[in-house]
Amino acid sequence: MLSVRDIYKSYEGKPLLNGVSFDLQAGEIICLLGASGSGKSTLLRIIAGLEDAESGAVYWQGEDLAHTPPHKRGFGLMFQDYALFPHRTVYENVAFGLRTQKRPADEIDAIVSQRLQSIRMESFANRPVTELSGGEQQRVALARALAPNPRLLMLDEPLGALDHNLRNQLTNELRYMLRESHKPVIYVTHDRQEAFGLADRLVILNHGLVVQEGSPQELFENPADAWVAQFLGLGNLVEDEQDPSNSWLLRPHDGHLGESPQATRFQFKGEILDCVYMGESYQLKLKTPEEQILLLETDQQCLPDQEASVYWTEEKTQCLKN
Amino acid sequence: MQKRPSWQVVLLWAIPLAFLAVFFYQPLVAIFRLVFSERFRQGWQLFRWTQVSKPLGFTLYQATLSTLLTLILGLPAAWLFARFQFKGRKILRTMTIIPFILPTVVVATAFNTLLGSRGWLNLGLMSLFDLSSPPLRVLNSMGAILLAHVFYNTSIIIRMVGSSLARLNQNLPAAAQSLGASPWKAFKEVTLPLLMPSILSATLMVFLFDFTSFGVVLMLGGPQFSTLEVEIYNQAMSRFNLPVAGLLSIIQLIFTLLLSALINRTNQPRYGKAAIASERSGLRKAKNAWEKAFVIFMIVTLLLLMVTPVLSLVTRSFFTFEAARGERGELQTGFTLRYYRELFFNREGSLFYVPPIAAIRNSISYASITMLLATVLGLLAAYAIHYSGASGRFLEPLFMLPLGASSVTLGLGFLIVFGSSLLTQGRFQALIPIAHALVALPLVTRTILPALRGIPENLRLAAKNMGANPLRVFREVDLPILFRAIAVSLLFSFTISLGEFGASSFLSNVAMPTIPVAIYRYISQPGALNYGQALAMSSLLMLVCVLGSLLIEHLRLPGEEMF
Repeated sequence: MLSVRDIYKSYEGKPLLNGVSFDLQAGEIICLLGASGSGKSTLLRIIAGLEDAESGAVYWQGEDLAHTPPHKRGFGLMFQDYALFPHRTVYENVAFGLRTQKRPADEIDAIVSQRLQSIRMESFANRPVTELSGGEQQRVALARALAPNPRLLMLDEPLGALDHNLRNQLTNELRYMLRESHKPVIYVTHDRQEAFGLADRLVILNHGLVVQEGSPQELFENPADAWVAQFLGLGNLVEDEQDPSNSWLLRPHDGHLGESPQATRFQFKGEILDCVYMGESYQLKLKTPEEQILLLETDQQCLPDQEASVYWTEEKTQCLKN
Repeated sequence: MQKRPSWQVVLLWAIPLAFLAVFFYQPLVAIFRLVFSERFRQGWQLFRWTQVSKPLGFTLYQATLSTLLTLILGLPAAWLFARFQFKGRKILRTMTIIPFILPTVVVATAFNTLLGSRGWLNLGLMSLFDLSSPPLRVLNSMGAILLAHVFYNTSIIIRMVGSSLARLNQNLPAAAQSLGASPWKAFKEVTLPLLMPSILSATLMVFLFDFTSFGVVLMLGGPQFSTLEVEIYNQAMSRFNLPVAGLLSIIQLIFTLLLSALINRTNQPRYGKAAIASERSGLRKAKNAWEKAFVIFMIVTLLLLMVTPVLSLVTRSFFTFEAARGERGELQTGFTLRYYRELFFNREGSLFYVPPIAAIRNSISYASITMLLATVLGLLAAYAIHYSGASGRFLEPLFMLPLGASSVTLGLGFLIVFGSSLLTQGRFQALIPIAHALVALPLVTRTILPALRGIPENLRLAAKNMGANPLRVFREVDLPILFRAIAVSLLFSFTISLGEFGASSFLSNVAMPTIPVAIYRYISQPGALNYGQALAMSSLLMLVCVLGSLLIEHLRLPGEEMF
């Protein structure tokens, strides 16, 4: 449905987006995942038409949107700071997009009430938005973006401004609401938990390029390179001794305590820095004499400051480009 | 906030209040008494309604017109500076702020050098078409008053509206667009309503300044135009009709107080932080032809209206254009430093007994006294308000009221109260720094108070805990923290005093004029030398004011603004 092709955009002389391309299918939820400052928000604004790319194009069902102004694109955008209109009530905020469509008043009324009902905020209709809590604002912003029935919904770090507990709670709620809407969704975040919890497909941005895309499982099992593995927090990365342009990914739950029965390149000795109980296992933090920190999941409890040996069998490791 | 022993607070209040009582409230009361006793004694028939209605009507008329024109220029200019990045943006913005800090006489002189009969425009036209007399008569017209008011007050709109525009969260209009609103509709439904409070209070502020305008109208409008301020001056100084002057003062005071109260109300932040941007500077280059045309048009307009008068004043002060001595008809033209050299000489035949340098000396000594007086009183007042807690809120307006009274009113009040005793002894000059200090006091208090409120009481307690006595606490804790605010106050009151015209025109003795009074007298005299000396003095005064305010901007902590 949506095709983004070779988007290039620089910021203060440095390239921010360096030829970004990806596609979005009907009803699909994709997460744009990247470190902060990687140009994710700018990419959303370009798709929405709020900013112009220096080169590249955005297509909707094959049609180039270069000359379609933002208000004619029908793309809903939810801002990181929600951008609720402070001079309007909750009701008026949600009704805004319907009013620009010049819908009849009773229809607007019906849709707004239904939207407010779905976020359980009917009683807030006449409150000024400045009195809402962060979580309430987030919900009103989502309701406002969905009310005019956009062709595409884009969310820019919708949970970014909220505290940890609320985030976990709202991630589930959001997943339910996004699935329910049956709309194609682009969801921007820097938080991989959120991304894995919501997305059908992940698009990972680094240095202004798409470095990998795929389902959460694909990415988890086959990270494209060492940076992706590190960014997704998949495990320990140990530099290859022969070829410094490669690294080995050693996943914490694949490691073992003690000496390996067969010969392996991944046998380490070191000092235990920490051993934390994680519910089903312990997480061991080991420092080798080469100052490499290794994480390992084990069911044995260890004491800090002691020497320990750990190993990974070679078939359980992956070699990745740096 | 820690409670101070009440007698200490009372003592803090006592000195600035006593000063205000004697030098502000007493003259004010004297004006009221004069007007009402006179009215009741002489009956209604001696007061003609037109004596009030004519100047009041004209004041309202010209202020409304000036404000409208200022908005027409100021709003697009605010948009220009808040939205667009272009070469020379910073310089142009600074240049557009300069007019606001200039003394009225300097503004009037600057316009004279541009549009007056001896100004650039007329000189140019005369040499171009070989004319013997200046073809343009822009001065002494309504046009000149309006032009000068626009020149003066556009920076208020640029600053107030521009800063809320720059701080406006740009995601808000963007959100409106993503919800299907066209750019125009997003502006109308979102940007404009959110800017409205600042537009409203900037408009009222401009109206207040136009309403109370004195020097500009007196010097550029000529005899046929009289605002309330000018009429107060005329009635008091030329016709010695103090009761009518007093009545006009009272009417003026009522209007300024009403306007100030309105400004205070509209100035309250309405939506808290919700409408304020967190990051994005929002500046960008002009994109399409429309935007480019807008940027270029605005730059040219601002250069013409806001920058040329200033440049014209400076260049004209180095330029001679006069008949050479003894050779009538032969014109000497060209670069000269003569006007500046002449500042130091007392030429025979000059209207004054004193050379301009004496006026400069007078002004500097008045300004020095003003500076100390206003800062010390302002410090006391700020401490008094700070330590009075809730009751301070009620007493604060007492210190702010002088802001509402015009300096002409102040001059008139002084004339009524001290006239008989001091004028005859020729010791009226002592009142000049006092009047200036009254003008500066509210601003000084407003500068120091926020800095004072920002000092954590724990610092003082800690110092006390380590055995410091109150004086030492003040010296070691308060003073270093207040240093910037005090420096700003000193500079502020110094430059205010240097440029003040209204009260000085009432109070300064013929032999001891201040710089603005001397400029006013010189420029209304014929003769190239008088004109040149007025220009030289104006240029110097402008230089001092610009340097002073640059220094103030530099010293001011980020986030503190004049408005």
